[in-house]
Amino acid sequence: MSDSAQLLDDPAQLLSDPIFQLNMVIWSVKDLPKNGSSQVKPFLREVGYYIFALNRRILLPELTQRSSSSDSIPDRFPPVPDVWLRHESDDFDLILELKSHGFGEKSSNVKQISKMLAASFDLSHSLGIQNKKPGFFIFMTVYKDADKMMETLNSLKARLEKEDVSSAPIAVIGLDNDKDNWLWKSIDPSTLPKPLQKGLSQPVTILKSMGHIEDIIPMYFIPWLPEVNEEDSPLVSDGLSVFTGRVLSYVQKQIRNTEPPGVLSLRAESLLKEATYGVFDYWKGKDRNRFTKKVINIILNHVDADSIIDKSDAVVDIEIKTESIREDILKELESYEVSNRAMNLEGASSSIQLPFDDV
Amino acid sequence: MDFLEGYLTLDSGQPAAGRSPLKTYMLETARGERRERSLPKSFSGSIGLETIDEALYKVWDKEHPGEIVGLIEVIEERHPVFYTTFKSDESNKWISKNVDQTPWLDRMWLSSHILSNIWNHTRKVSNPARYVGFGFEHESKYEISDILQYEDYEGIEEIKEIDEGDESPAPDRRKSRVYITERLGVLSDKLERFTNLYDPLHSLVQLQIPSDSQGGHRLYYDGRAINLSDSFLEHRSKIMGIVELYQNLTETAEDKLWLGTTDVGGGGFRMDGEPITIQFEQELSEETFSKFITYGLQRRNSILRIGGYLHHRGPRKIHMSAIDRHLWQPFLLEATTKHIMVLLPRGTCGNTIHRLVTYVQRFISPKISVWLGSESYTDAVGLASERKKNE
Repeated sequence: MSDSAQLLDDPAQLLSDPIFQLNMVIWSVKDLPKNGSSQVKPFLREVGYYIFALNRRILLPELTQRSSSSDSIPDRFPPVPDVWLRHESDDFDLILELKSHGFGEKSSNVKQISKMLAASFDLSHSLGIQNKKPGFFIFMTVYKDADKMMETLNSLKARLEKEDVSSAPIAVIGLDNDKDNWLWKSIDPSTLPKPLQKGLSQPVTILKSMGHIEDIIPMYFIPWLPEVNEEDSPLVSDGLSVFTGRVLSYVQKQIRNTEPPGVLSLRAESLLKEATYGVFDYWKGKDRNRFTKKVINIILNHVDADSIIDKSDAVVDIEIKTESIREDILKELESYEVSNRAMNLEGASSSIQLPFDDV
Repeated sequence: MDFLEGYLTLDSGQPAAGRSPLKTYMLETARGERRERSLPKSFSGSIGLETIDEALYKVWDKEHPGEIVGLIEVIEERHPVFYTTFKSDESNKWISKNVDQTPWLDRMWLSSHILSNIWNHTRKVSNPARYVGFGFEHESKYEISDILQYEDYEGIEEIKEIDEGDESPAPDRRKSRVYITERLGVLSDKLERFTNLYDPLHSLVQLQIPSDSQGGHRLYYDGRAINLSDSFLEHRSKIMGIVELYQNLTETAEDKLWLGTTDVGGGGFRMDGEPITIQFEQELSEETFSKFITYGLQRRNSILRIGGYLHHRGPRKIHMSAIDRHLWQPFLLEATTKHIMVLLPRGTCGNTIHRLVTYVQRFISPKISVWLGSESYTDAVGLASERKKNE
């Protein structure tokens, strides 16, 4: 059981958490009850947007003779914005980048954002189509940084223009909260794409509290993402504990569905793919490896060594001789403390030595 | 057919004197490509299915040696139907043991919304002078003040006939059982007003509809039916209609709601799928909510058949990496004092929706709003019924 009593000392932690930000964008396009009683407001859906892609790379435009010497875009490696939204009628696609905080012109993020501004100007290259497809770049971060971030974006845009590189229109949406509500706010609604202007002319409540600070956290479609938030924080730990619960539920499924006597090969990659609803396939090698070993360790730590007939860093073979052995394994897994950081996907290691292990 | 009509015993071929009326149990297996087990292998080892023809089996049980316990007809691959002439107590126990504890099988859960749809159809096509029966039941199970009374819930809960005598101790929680038998024409006019006066009457658990000739067909929330008519063939025809509606409803919902990723090229993906939301008319107290989480969601023997890993989100909200013990399928669940929300990963059996709706109305909140994405569940049932008629 996960104890989240100390999860949120300060609401600002949640506002700046990229996993929370991303999941809120996903929730904001979901099809929710029409009676307005949901804790989540599907704001982007209500104004006509849907998700075209998450994490899809966008291509930079072909360079002109003058722009070939652009300092803003030192390489042509395609940037990968967090979200790509499309509108049911407006021509502009939204390229959305989510960040914990805003930043200034000297930040290491400048190069990536400059590339996104340039690549969003015309998305036809990224789509492989001939007709121009205009994009609108939106930066989403905590509201207190919104002003400063808009200044940074304006200055990056001006620099690109000086270098003869066209760039997309820009806007910033800030995340804020009052006592009971979590809000999206605009510092200047006139800068927003038309479908958003009216809705964001006032702060929009995207999440309603039920009276307790932690109940604001919505169910996460994606509880953890590689390279998004590596820092040691209670929210990252919570995401990993949720992720561990999801993996273990698929371990239980496979064990229960094995008829004794039988041998079950538990493959970490296929468990991780199921537990992320396919997102795991989009992770890079090092992130995949990081978790495959830990999944194997969790299994090894909770299945009686007598039942394990083979193991590697990616697969464990379990022999299930009788129904009662299967029940014992399931009961052990059911009682697993997914919030135990030393035992879950955050820190699981295994000291189990099997007779066939190399010594 | 003579056996099913109740004229002969299957074992001896002799006339069946004083036999109990035919009980029908509508079952759930899994959708098409997701069905990993053949029907005979879906049961435990003590149950044997002997093929009569490709859609009909005799059912043997080692615990009833030398006796055929019933027949199974595969009306739809996904929804086999078990017929038996056992007495209700005996047949209910048999199903509890051999279906509720088997991961490959579940009951069809006829929620109030589904039973109401059947009633709405009946009132249009049946003679207003005929009698219909309604059973409503709600018990606020988690309002119990004395926690020790939960010991009553050890073991698989047996589903009692609503019209049987109740000898339980004096109640300490809300408990309503209402049974009405009345002429169709009278209830057609008054039932809705009656229901709006007292909210437990939103939890419809039993419906008896008139047959085309004499008697009727009694349907229960847990997929049971009793043939009280004089024709098995007519009973079978009613059951086929319900199975068709149910399958249509479930599979349409699954197609719309299943959660998963779709590749969109360029290293990107989309996350599809919509939630199922069950909103309670009245907010639960924190104490009731807490008991529901502990005893409804975490007990292995809860009739809800759900387990998994809890993540507390304050005193009024939990998240759960949940497992439906029918097919042992993982899914995501959020429960608060105001609602239950569910996300079903691609391939998860949509039967979970109907089971949850039925359970919530019987034991948590009789008056609820249910949504499949933004579509009302009542509308979805109506559309499934229309599609069925148009096919």
